Amino acid sequence: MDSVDEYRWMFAAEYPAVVRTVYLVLHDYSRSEEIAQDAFIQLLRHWNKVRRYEAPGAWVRRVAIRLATRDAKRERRRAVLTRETIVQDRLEPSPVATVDPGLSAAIRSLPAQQRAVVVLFYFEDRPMEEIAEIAGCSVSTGWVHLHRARKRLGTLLSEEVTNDVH
Amino acid sequence: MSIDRRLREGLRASADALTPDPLVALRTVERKARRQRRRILVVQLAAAAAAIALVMVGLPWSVIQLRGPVAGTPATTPPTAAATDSLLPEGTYRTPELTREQLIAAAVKRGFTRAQAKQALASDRINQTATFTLTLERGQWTQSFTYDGIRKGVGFEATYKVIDHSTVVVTEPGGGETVFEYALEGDAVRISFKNADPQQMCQHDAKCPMGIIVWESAPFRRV
Repeated sequence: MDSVDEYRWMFAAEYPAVVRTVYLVLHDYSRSEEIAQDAFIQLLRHWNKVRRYEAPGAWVRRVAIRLATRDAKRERRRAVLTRETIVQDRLEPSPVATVDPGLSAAIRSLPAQQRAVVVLFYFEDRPMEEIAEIAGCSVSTGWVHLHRARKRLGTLLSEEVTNDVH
Repeated sequence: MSIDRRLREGLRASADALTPDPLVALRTVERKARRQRRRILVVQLAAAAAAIALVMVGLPWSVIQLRGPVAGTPATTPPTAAATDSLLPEGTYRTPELTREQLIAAAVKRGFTRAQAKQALASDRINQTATFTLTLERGQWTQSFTYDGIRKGVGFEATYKVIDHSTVVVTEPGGGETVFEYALEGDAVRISFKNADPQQMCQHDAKCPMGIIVWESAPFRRV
Protein backbone atom coordinates (compact mmCIF):
# COMPACT_ATOMS: atom_id res chain seq x y z
CA MET A 1 0.00 0.00 0.00
CA ASP A 2 1.51 3.34 -0.99
CA SER A 3 1.56 6.45 1.16
CA VAL A 4 -1.57 7.98 -0.41
CA ASP A 5 -3.60 4.81 -0.01
CA GLU A 6 -2.41 4.49 3.56
CA TYR A 7 -3.59 8.02 4.29
CA ARG A 8 -6.97 7.38 2.69
CA TRP A 9 -7.37 4.17 4.61
CA MET A 10 -6.52 5.97 7.84
CA PHE A 11 -8.93 8.74 6.97
CA ALA A 12 -11.82 6.35 6.38
CA ALA A 13 -11.07 4.55 9.64
CA GLU A 14 -10.57 7.57 11.90
CA TYR A 15 -12.60 10.45 10.49
CA PRO A 16 -16.02 9.50 11.91
CA ALA A 17 -14.57 8.99 15.39
CA VAL A 18 -12.75 12.32 15.29
CA VAL A 19 -15.91 14.16 14.19
CA ARG A 20 -17.84 12.53 17.03
CA THR A 21 -15.30 13.53 19.67
CA VAL A 22 -15.10 17.10 18.40
CA TYR A 23 -18.89 17.29 18.22
CA LEU A 24 -19.17 16.34 21.87
CA VAL A 25 -16.92 19.26 22.76
CA LEU A 26 -18.55 21.84 20.47
CA HIS A 27 -22.12 20.59 19.96
CA ASP A 28 -22.10 22.18 16.52
CA TYR A 29 -22.10 19.55 13.79
CA SER A 30 -20.90 21.52 10.77
CA ARG A 31 -18.19 23.25 12.81
CA SER A 32 -17.10 19.85 14.11
CA GLU A 33 -16.73 18.54 10.57
CA GLU A 34 -14.69 21.61 9.59
CA ILE A 35 -12.39 21.21 12.56
CA ALA A 36 -11.94 17.49 11.96
CA GLN A 37 -11.10 18.25 8.33
CA ASP A 38 -8.56 20.91 9.38
CA ALA A 39 -6.92 18.34 11.63
CA PHE A 40 -6.74 15.84 8.77
CA ILE A 41 -5.23 18.50 6.49
CA GLN A 42 -2.50 18.94 9.09
CA LEU A 43 -2.10 15.18 9.16
CA LEU A 44 -1.75 15.11 5.38
CA ARG A 45 0.90 17.82 5.53
CA HIS A 46 2.91 15.81 8.07
CA TRP A 47 1.93 12.40 6.75
CA ASN A 48 5.42 11.25 5.76
CA LYS A 49 6.52 11.69 9.37
CA VAL A 50 3.34 10.76 11.24
CA ARG A 51 2.69 7.55 9.26
CA ARG A 52 5.74 6.07 10.93
CA TYR A 53 4.28 6.67 14.42
CA GLU A 54 2.80 3.79 16.32
CA ALA A 55 -0.68 5.40 16.40
CA PRO A 56 -1.17 8.09 13.76
CA GLY A 57 -4.85 8.17 14.74
CA ALA A 58 -3.95 9.45 18.19
CA TRP A 59 -1.94 12.27 16.60
CA VAL A 60 -4.84 13.55 14.51
CA ARG A 61 -7.26 13.20 17.41
CA ARG A 62 -4.95 15.27 19.60
CA VAL A 63 -4.76 18.00 16.94
CA ALA A 64 -8.54 17.96 16.53
CA ILE A 65 -9.22 18.25 20.26
CA ARG A 66 -6.79 21.15 20.54
CA LEU A 67 -8.43 22.93 17.62
CA ALA A 68 -11.87 22.27 19.11
CA THR A 69 -10.86 23.59 22.53
CA ARG A 70 -9.42 26.70 20.93
CA ASP A 71 -12.61 27.16 18.93
CA ALA A 72 -14.79 26.71 22.02
CA LYS A 73 -12.72 29.29 23.91
CA ARG A 74 -13.08 31.75 21.03
CA GLU A 75 -16.81 31.16 20.92
CA ARG A 76 -17.10 31.76 24.64
CA ARG A 77 -15.02 34.96 24.44
CA ARG A 78 -17.15 36.17 21.57
CA ALA A 79 -20.30 35.44 23.56
CA VAL A 80 -18.95 37.40 26.51
CA LEU A 81 -17.90 40.34 24.35
CA THR A 82 -21.26 40.55 22.63
CA ARG A 83 -23.08 39.89 25.91
CA GLU A 84 -24.79 36.85 24.52
CA THR A 85 -25.23 33.54 26.16
CA ILE A 86 -24.08 30.64 24.00
CA VAL A 87 -26.84 30.97 21.50
CA GLN A 88 -28.70 27.89 20.48
CA ASP A 89 -30.01 29.37 17.24
CA ARG A 90 -26.49 30.11 15.99
CA LEU A 91 -25.69 26.43 16.08
CA GLU A 92 -26.44 24.31 13.05
CA PRO A 93 -29.43 22.04 13.45
CA SER A 94 -27.85 18.85 14.66
CA PRO A 95 -28.76 15.28 13.91
CA VAL A 96 -28.37 14.48 17.60
CA ALA A 97 -30.26 17.42 19.03
CA THR A 98 -32.92 15.19 20.46
CA VAL A 99 -30.73 12.54 22.07
CA ASP A 100 -30.23 14.31 25.40
CA PRO A 101 -30.78 18.05 24.99
CA GLY A 102 -30.41 18.68 28.72
CA LEU A 103 -26.98 17.08 28.81
CA SER A 104 -25.90 18.91 25.63
CA ALA A 105 -26.93 22.27 27.07
CA ALA A 106 -25.24 21.55 30.39
CA ILE A 107 -21.96 20.54 28.72
CA ARG A 108 -22.07 23.61 26.50
CA SER A 109 -22.24 25.80 29.57
CA LEU A 110 -18.85 24.50 30.77
CA PRO A 111 -15.58 26.29 30.00
CA ALA A 112 -13.77 24.87 26.97
CA GLN A 113 -11.09 22.96 28.85
CA GLN A 114 -13.59 21.35 31.18
CA ARG A 115 -15.64 20.24 28.18
CA ALA A 116 -12.61 18.66 26.55
CA VAL A 117 -11.60 16.90 29.77
CA VAL A 118 -15.13 15.55 30.28
CA VAL A 119 -15.31 14.20 26.72
CA LEU A 120 -11.86 12.65 26.82
CA PHE A 121 -12.54 11.07 30.19
CA TYR A 122 -16.10 9.79 29.79
CA PHE A 123 -16.32 9.24 26.04
CA GLU A 124 -12.80 8.31 25.05
CA ASP A 125 -11.90 6.63 28.35
CA ARG A 126 -8.44 8.11 28.36
CA PRO A 127 -6.23 8.11 31.46
CA MET A 128 -5.77 11.54 33.08
CA GLU A 129 -2.05 11.62 32.13
CA GLU A 130 -3.00 11.50 28.48
CA ILE A 131 -5.90 13.94 28.92
CA ALA A 132 -3.59 16.44 30.59
CA GLU A 133 -1.11 16.12 27.74
CA ILE A 134 -3.80 16.75 25.12
CA ALA A 135 -5.41 19.58 27.08
CA GLY A 136 -2.04 21.19 27.73
CA CYS A 137 -2.28 21.22 31.52
CA SER A 138 -0.82 19.31 34.45
CA VAL A 139 -2.40 16.08 35.66
CA SER A 140 -3.59 17.69 38.89
CA THR A 141 -5.17 20.57 36.94
CA GLY A 142 -6.85 17.96 34.74
CA TRP A 143 -8.44 16.38 37.84
CA VAL A 144 -9.53 19.81 39.07
CA HIS A 145 -11.23 20.47 35.72
CA LEU A 146 -13.00 17.13 35.91
CA HIS A 147 -14.22 17.60 39.48
CA ARG A 148 -15.49 21.10 38.81
CA ALA A 149 -17.24 19.94 35.64
CA ARG A 150 -18.90 17.03 37.46
CA LYS A 151 -20.05 19.28 40.26
CA ARG A 152 -21.55 21.82 37.89
CA LEU A 153 -23.15 19.20 35.66
CA GLY A 154 -24.58 17.43 38.71
CA THR A 155 -26.22 20.66 39.82
CA LEU A 156 -27.53 21.56 36.37
CA LEU A 157 -28.87 18.08 35.68
CA SER A 158 -29.96 17.31 39.24
CA GLU A 159 -27.91 14.14 39.27
CA GLU A 160 -26.03 12.55 42.11
CA VAL A 161 -22.35 13.48 42.35
CA THR A 162 -20.29 11.04 44.41
CA ASN A 163 -16.80 11.78 45.64
CA ASP A 164 -15.26 9.03 43.52
CA VAL A 165 -15.10 9.33 39.78
CA HIS A 166 -16.46 6.22 38.05
CA MET B 1 -28.67 8.08 38.27
CA SER B 2 -25.12 9.19 39.03
CA ILE B 3 -23.62 12.01 36.98
CA ASP B 4 -20.88 9.64 35.78
CA ARG B 5 -23.38 7.17 34.31
CA ARG B 6 -25.47 9.94 32.75
CA LEU B 7 -22.35 11.36 31.10
CA ARG B 8 -21.09 8.03 29.79
CA GLU B 9 -24.47 6.99 28.42
CA GLY B 10 -25.47 10.43 27.17
CA LEU B 11 -22.19 11.10 25.36
CA ARG B 12 -22.16 7.62 23.83
CA ALA B 13 -25.76 8.00 22.60
CA SER B 14 -25.03 11.45 21.12
CA ALA B 15 -21.93 10.15 19.36
CA ASP B 16 -23.70 7.08 18.00
CA ALA B 17 -26.38 9.28 16.43
CA LEU B 18 -23.79 10.93 14.17
CA THR B 19 -22.98 9.40 10.81
CA PRO B 20 -20.20 11.46 9.19
CA ASP B 21 -19.45 10.51 5.58
CA PRO B 22 -15.69 9.94 5.22
CA LEU B 23 -15.79 9.75 1.41
CA VAL B 24 -17.24 13.22 0.93
CA ALA B 25 -14.97 14.59 3.65
CA LEU B 26 -11.86 13.02 2.10
CA ARG B 27 -12.53 14.80 -1.18
CA THR B 28 -12.95 18.10 0.67
CA VAL B 29 -9.76 17.58 2.67
CA GLU B 30 -7.70 16.69 -0.39
CA ARG B 31 -9.05 19.72 -2.26
CA LYS B 32 -8.32 22.09 0.63
CA ALA B 33 -4.84 20.61 1.09
CA ARG B 34 -4.04 21.09 -2.60
CA ARG B 35 -5.18 24.70 -2.40
CA GLN B 36 -3.02 25.28 0.67
CA ARG B 37 0.01 23.71 -0.98
CA ARG B 38 -0.42 25.87 -4.06
CA ARG B 39 -0.78 28.99 -1.92
CA ILE B 40 2.43 28.14 -0.06
CA LEU B 41 4.23 27.45 -3.34
CA VAL B 42 3.05 30.74 -4.81
CA VAL B 43 4.15 32.66 -1.73
CA GLN B 44 7.58 31.03 -1.90
CA LEU B 45 7.87 31.79 -5.59
CA ALA B 46 6.73 35.36 -5.10
CA ALA B 47 9.23 35.80 -2.28
CA ALA B 48 12.02 34.43 -4.46
CA ALA B 49 10.97 36.65 -7.36
CA ALA B 50 10.78 39.67 -5.06
CA ALA B 51 14.24 38.94 -3.71
CA ILE B 52 15.65 38.62 -7.21
CA ALA B 53 13.87 41.78 -8.32
CA LEU B 54 15.24 43.61 -5.31
CA VAL B 55 18.76 42.55 -6.12
CA MET B 56 18.44 43.27 -9.84
CA VAL B 57 16.54 46.53 -9.66
CA GLY B 58 16.91 47.86 -6.14
CA LEU B 59 20.65 47.76 -5.81
CA PRO B 60 21.61 49.50 -9.07
CA TRP B 61 18.91 52.08 -8.31
CA SER B 62 20.43 52.69 -4.87
CA VAL B 63 23.86 53.06 -6.43
CA ILE B 64 22.51 55.63 -8.90
CA GLN B 65 20.86 57.50 -6.06
CA LEU B 66 24.07 57.53 -4.06
CA ARG B 67 26.19 58.67 -6.99
CA GLY B 68 23.73 61.33 -8.12
CA PRO B 69 22.84 62.01 -11.74
CA VAL B 70 25.63 61.68 -14.26
CA ALA B 71 25.95 64.53 -16.70
CA GLY B 72 24.40 63.73 -20.04
CA THR B 73 22.60 60.63 -18.72
CA PRO B 74 18.85 60.78 -19.19
CA ALA B 75 16.78 60.44 -16.01
CA THR B 76 15.56 56.92 -15.27
CA THR B 77 11.86 56.50 -15.90
CA PRO B 78 9.57 53.79 -14.61
CA PRO B 79 8.66 51.12 -17.14
CA THR B 80 5.59 52.06 -19.13
CA ALA B 81 2.79 49.88 -20.41
CA ALA B 82 4.40 50.01 -23.83
CA ALA B 83 7.69 48.83 -22.36
CA THR B 84 5.94 45.92 -20.67
CA ASP B 85 4.15 45.12 -23.90
CA SER B 86 7.45 45.01 -25.71
CA LEU B 87 8.67 42.37 -23.26
CA LEU B 88 5.73 40.07 -23.97
CA PRO B 89 3.68 41.51 -26.85
CA GLU B 90 -0.09 41.29 -26.66
CA GLY B 91 -1.84 39.14 -29.23
CA THR B 92 -3.05 35.63 -29.87
CA TYR B 93 -0.63 32.73 -29.74
CA ARG B 94 -1.41 29.14 -30.65
CA THR B 95 0.35 25.79 -30.49
CA PRO B 96 0.29 23.47 -33.50
CA GLU B 97 -2.22 20.64 -33.36
CA LEU B 98 -0.52 18.30 -30.92
CA THR B 99 -0.92 14.55 -30.99
CA ARG B 100 -1.73 12.52 -27.93
CA GLU B 101 1.86 11.19 -27.91
CA GLN B 102 3.30 14.72 -27.92
CA LEU B 103 1.08 15.67 -24.98
CA ILE B 104 2.10 12.59 -23.02
CA ALA B 105 5.77 13.25 -23.82
CA ALA B 106 5.53 16.77 -22.31
CA ALA B 107 4.25 15.35 -19.02
CA VAL B 108 6.81 12.53 -19.01
CA LYS B 109 9.59 15.07 -19.61
CA ARG B 110 8.57 16.75 -16.33
CA GLY B 111 8.75 13.49 -14.39
CA PHE B 112 5.22 12.15 -14.59
CA THR B 113 4.61 8.54 -15.57
CA ARG B 114 2.82 7.71 -18.81
CA ALA B 115 -0.06 6.40 -16.72
CA GLN B 116 -0.39 9.74 -14.91
CA ALA B 117 -0.26 11.62 -18.21
CA LYS B 118 -2.90 9.35 -19.75
CA GLN B 119 -5.11 9.77 -16.71
CA ALA B 120 -4.85 13.56 -17.02
CA LEU B 121 -5.77 13.41 -20.72
CA ALA B 122 -8.67 11.11 -19.92
CA SER B 123 -9.96 13.57 -17.32
CA ASP B 124 -10.19 16.20 -20.08
CA ARG B 125 -11.50 13.59 -22.58
CA ILE B 126 -8.68 14.17 -25.05
CA ASN B 127 -8.65 11.19 -27.41
CA GLN B 128 -6.41 12.23 -30.29
CA THR B 129 -5.27 15.84 -30.57
CA ALA B 130 -5.25 19.14 -28.77
CA THR B 131 -4.50 22.71 -29.79
CA PHE B 132 -3.95 25.34 -27.11
CA THR B 133 -4.40 29.07 -27.60
CA LEU B 134 -3.17 31.91 -25.42
CA THR B 135 -4.65 35.37 -25.83
CA LEU B 136 -2.99 38.35 -24.17
CA GLU B 137 -5.08 41.46 -24.29
CA ARG B 138 -5.22 44.48 -22.00
CA GLY B 139 -3.79 42.64 -19.03
CA GLN B 140 -6.06 39.64 -19.56
CA TRP B 141 -4.50 36.17 -19.93
CA THR B 142 -6.90 33.69 -21.56
CA GLN B 143 -6.02 30.11 -22.40
CA SER B 144 -8.44 28.22 -24.59
CA PHE B 145 -8.34 24.86 -26.31
CA THR B 146 -9.65 22.71 -29.13
CA TYR B 147 -9.72 18.99 -28.36
CA ASP B 148 -9.88 16.36 -31.11
CA GLY B 149 -10.58 19.16 -33.58
CA ILE B 150 -14.16 19.54 -32.38
CA ARG B 151 -14.52 20.40 -28.73
CA LYS B 152 -13.62 23.99 -27.88
CA GLY B 153 -13.54 25.82 -24.60
CA VAL B 154 -11.75 28.19 -22.28
CA GLY B 155 -9.38 26.56 -19.84
CA PHE B 156 -7.96 29.41 -17.82
CA GLU B 157 -8.78 33.10 -17.46
CA ALA B 158 -6.73 35.43 -15.35
CA THR B 159 -4.93 38.75 -15.27
CA TYR B 160 -1.18 38.91 -15.81
CA LYS B 161 1.77 41.10 -15.10
CA VAL B 162 5.08 40.91 -16.90
CA ILE B 163 7.81 41.13 -14.31
CA ASP B 164 10.86 41.09 -16.55
CA HIS B 165 12.17 39.65 -19.79
CA SER B 166 11.53 36.09 -18.61
CA THR B 167 8.96 36.18 -15.80
CA VAL B 168 5.24 36.71 -15.88
CA VAL B 169 2.88 36.42 -12.91
CA VAL B 170 -0.65 35.29 -13.66
CA THR B 171 -3.35 35.96 -11.06
CA GLU B 172 -6.60 34.03 -11.06
CA PRO B 173 -9.87 35.74 -10.06
CA GLY B 174 -9.72 33.92 -6.72
CA GLY B 175 -6.30 35.47 -6.01
CA GLY B 176 -4.17 32.39 -6.73
CA GLU B 177 -0.94 33.32 -8.46
CA THR B 178 1.18 31.29 -10.84
CA VAL B 179 4.64 32.35 -11.87
CA PHE B 180 5.59 31.41 -15.42
CA GLU B 181 8.87 31.66 -17.22
CA TYR B 182 8.58 32.75 -20.82
CA ALA B 183 10.99 33.02 -23.70
CA LEU B 184 10.34 34.74 -27.01
CA GLU B 185 11.58 32.76 -30.00
CA GLY B 186 10.88 34.81 -33.11
CA ASP B 187 7.11 35.12 -33.29
CA ALA B 188 6.57 32.33 -30.79
CA VAL B 189 6.58 32.26 -27.04
CA ARG B 190 7.66 29.30 -24.98
CA ILE B 191 6.04 29.05 -21.53
CA SER B 192 6.88 26.93 -18.50
CA PHE B 193 6.27 26.96 -14.74
CA LYS B 194 9.03 28.87 -13.00
CA ASN B 195 10.95 27.15 -10.22
CA ALA B 196 8.11 24.70 -9.71
CA ASP B 197 8.43 21.04 -8.94
CA PRO B 198 5.49 19.61 -10.90
CA GLN B 199 5.54 16.35 -8.94
CA GLN B 200 5.18 18.24 -5.69
CA MET B 201 2.63 20.62 -7.15
CA CYS B 202 0.46 17.79 -8.46
CA GLN B 203 0.58 15.45 -5.49
CA HIS B 204 -2.66 13.44 -5.32
CA ASP B 205 -4.26 15.43 -8.15
CA ALA B 206 -4.88 13.27 -11.17
CA LYS B 207 -5.91 16.18 -13.37
CA CYS B 208 -3.05 18.47 -12.43
CA PRO B 209 -0.50 17.22 -15.03
CA MET B 210 -2.78 18.88 -17.61
CA GLY B 211 -1.30 22.19 -16.43
CA ILE B 212 2.14 21.03 -17.56
CA ILE B 213 0.72 19.57 -20.76
CA VAL B 214 -1.07 22.80 -21.71
CA TRP B 215 1.89 25.10 -21.22
CA GLU B 216 4.90 22.95 -21.88
CA SER B 217 3.92 20.69 -24.82
CA ALA B 218 4.96 23.18 -27.50
CA PRO B 219 5.70 26.87 -28.06
CA PHE B 220 2.74 29.15 -28.79
CA ARG B 221 3.13 30.81 -32.19
CA ARG B 222 1.60 34.23 -32.86
CA VAL B 223 -1.41 34.14 -35.19
